[in-house]
Amino acid sequence: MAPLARRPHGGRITPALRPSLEPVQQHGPTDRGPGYAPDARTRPRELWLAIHLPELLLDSLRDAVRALPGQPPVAVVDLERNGRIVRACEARVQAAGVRDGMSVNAALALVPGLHTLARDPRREHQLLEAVARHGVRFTPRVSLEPPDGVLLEVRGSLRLFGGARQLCTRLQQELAAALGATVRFAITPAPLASLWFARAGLLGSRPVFVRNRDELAARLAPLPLGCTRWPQRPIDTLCTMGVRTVGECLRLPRDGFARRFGHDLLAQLDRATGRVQEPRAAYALAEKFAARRDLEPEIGDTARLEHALQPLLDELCQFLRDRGRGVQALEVQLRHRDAPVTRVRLRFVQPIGAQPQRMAELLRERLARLVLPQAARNVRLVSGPLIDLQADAIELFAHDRRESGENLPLLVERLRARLGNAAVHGIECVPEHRPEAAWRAVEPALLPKKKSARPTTRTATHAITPESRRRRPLWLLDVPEPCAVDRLVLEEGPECIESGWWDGHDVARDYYVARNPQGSRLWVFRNRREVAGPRWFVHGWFA
Amino acid sequence: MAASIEQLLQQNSARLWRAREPGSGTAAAAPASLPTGYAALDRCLPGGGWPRQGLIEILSDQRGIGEVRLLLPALAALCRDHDAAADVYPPPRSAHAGSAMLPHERGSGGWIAWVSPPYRPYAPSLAGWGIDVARMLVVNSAGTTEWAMDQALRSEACSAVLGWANPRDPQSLRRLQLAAEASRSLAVLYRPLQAGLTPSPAVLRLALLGNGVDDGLQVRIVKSRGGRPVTVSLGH
Repeated sequence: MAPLARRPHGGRITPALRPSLEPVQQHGPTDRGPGYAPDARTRPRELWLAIHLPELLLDSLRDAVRALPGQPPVAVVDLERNGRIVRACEARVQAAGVRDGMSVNAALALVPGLHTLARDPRREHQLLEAVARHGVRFTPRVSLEPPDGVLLEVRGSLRLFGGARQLCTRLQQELAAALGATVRFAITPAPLASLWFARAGLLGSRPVFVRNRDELAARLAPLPLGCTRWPQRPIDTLCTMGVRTVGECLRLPRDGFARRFGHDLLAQLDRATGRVQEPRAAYALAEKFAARRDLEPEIGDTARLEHALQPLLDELCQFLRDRGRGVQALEVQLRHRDAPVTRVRLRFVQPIGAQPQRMAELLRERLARLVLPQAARNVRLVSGPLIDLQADAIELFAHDRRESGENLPLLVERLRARLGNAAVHGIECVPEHRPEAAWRAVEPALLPKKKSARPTTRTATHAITPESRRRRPLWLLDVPEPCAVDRLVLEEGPECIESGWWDGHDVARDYYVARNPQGSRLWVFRNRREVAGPRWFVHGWFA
Repeated sequence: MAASIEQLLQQNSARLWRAREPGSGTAAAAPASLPTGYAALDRCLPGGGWPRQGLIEILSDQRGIGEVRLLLPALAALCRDHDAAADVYPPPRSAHAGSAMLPHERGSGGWIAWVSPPYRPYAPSLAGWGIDVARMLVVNSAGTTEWAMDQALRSEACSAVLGWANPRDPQSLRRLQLAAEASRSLAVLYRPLQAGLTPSPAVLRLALLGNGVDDGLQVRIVKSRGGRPVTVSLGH
């Protein structure tokens, strides 16, 4: 029974030698074949700064608290188990004896003037994201740990900001000034350990700083198990066993621990002690552009509106240029004195970067058809989510712009702006026997697929030959039209098509190629089912 | 003086009207054309195929006589042409005897726009005729067909623009012809037979008649810049 925190090599290895020694012992440099997986001890060292927001619930509602008249004592409550339960409260309320998990009535009995606010998970998450956005200024690697933690990988940033203490001080000041949030920090090589230290908050306001992975197990030892946020049951079980701290937990036998409490908890212990690396999902900035402009005087005609929007478009393009990103959707909101907001949505076929001309052109097309209910008082331009632009190689000798296909998106946008989205589409073959289901309208293929778009690929897989397809008409009617068959000459057929019983649109038809007295060729069918009404229909023209 | 006329001929071959001359001497200077895929029709058209600049009008009242099939060999060549240019060099000889492209005409790949077609262009059939359906762009713009065609022609995104409309206003026809002249796309406008009675700026006007007996199609060249009115019978 090896202890959980077993060191792999018995004795302690000096940090300077460690990175070079260990991989050689484990797997020689020669067997770094394709199956070589980087071990926890060979990867580049990381330092994770955990930001814990101990008063997230209160902090997220700070605006609401500030708006209350007369500064009453405040508690945040949550609806749970058929009653309202106190989830967080101010220090002075706590001093009166109110604890988390108390019912509202009990809290009101202790603090008669208590003002309760319902918790708002959306604002809590917004606050967390705001913290993450501040974190991006310190390091590009930021990860969210909902509900109340943010992790920053700061190893590369320590020197720039003058050491861990400087960095923490600066981050704390920024967060306090911008968000008014109370935060606790910890820096260790393992993200999970950082979170545990930050939640435990052992050393008062001084942040925990562990530089070396080998020290982790020893430093984690005094932490109470509560900081791990494991489910209540295993913690209770461990308590009855007399295990109350992480250190005592680490001394338990590995296999027995896994059997009793599950592999998940064991894996967490391994991650916290740095035995196993923990991959973190990176937080991506979800930014949008929004800008508004008051119109003075109010504008009632769309031509002048277009001029008024131009500075906003320029601002948007500068915004996109700074970030090197693009947008696919824009919305113009026009506010009126009495009427509801007029919204004009623009959608580009592809994400586009800073192209004021193209945006303005599309906007002009849309505004020209807009009827304003009233003069607009102010205008707002809001972008959809920012999208990474795809870098395209420009062909050096391309002289024909048709070949690159770069103009098609513009054309499709322009046509759609006037005719509507559904009016412009591409078409596609579908391997299906029913004629009306053998094609469908699709988004126009913006860049031609070189190989797969060839008709031969599909014919090969579905055993449909070009000859059999030529027996299909070039024009297909959306709805077959009843016709009189007596004046037609049936030239080919019948071709029986009976299919589709599984989706409720089953057909049983005999198709013929027919010719009318004027010499036109039609595709007609006779309904094989005995139903009332006409039995012969035209379904297409061999145009 | 003779030199300056020669210069004029060299400079602006597209705008310059010239009577068709038999022999290959002037054929090189004639505007680029796209073989129709029908040898009999090619022989009657100045330039030996569909003019690639300028509007083509196809006048027909009947449906289902092969009015679209008339264009399919050329459209298929436009699709194939792009593939050939992208994939292999030299391009493989195409199946149609007349549609082997000159090297400078390659790179005409683009979309084929169907503006306000009377029915649905049926993808399986188009694929059967060798047309790359991924490059079709269907635009349903009843009432604004001329505008949509104009946009498609000006965008340089399409290698062919087919439209179904009957513009009554000579101005819009004129505008369409100018746009077709300026672009290298094949521009085809389908109109009723009745429209043949009024003049049109189109470079080529064809009237189609089914012969009522078999699959044949009678093509009457009503107007062709540099050609003579003539009737051709095509068997499918």
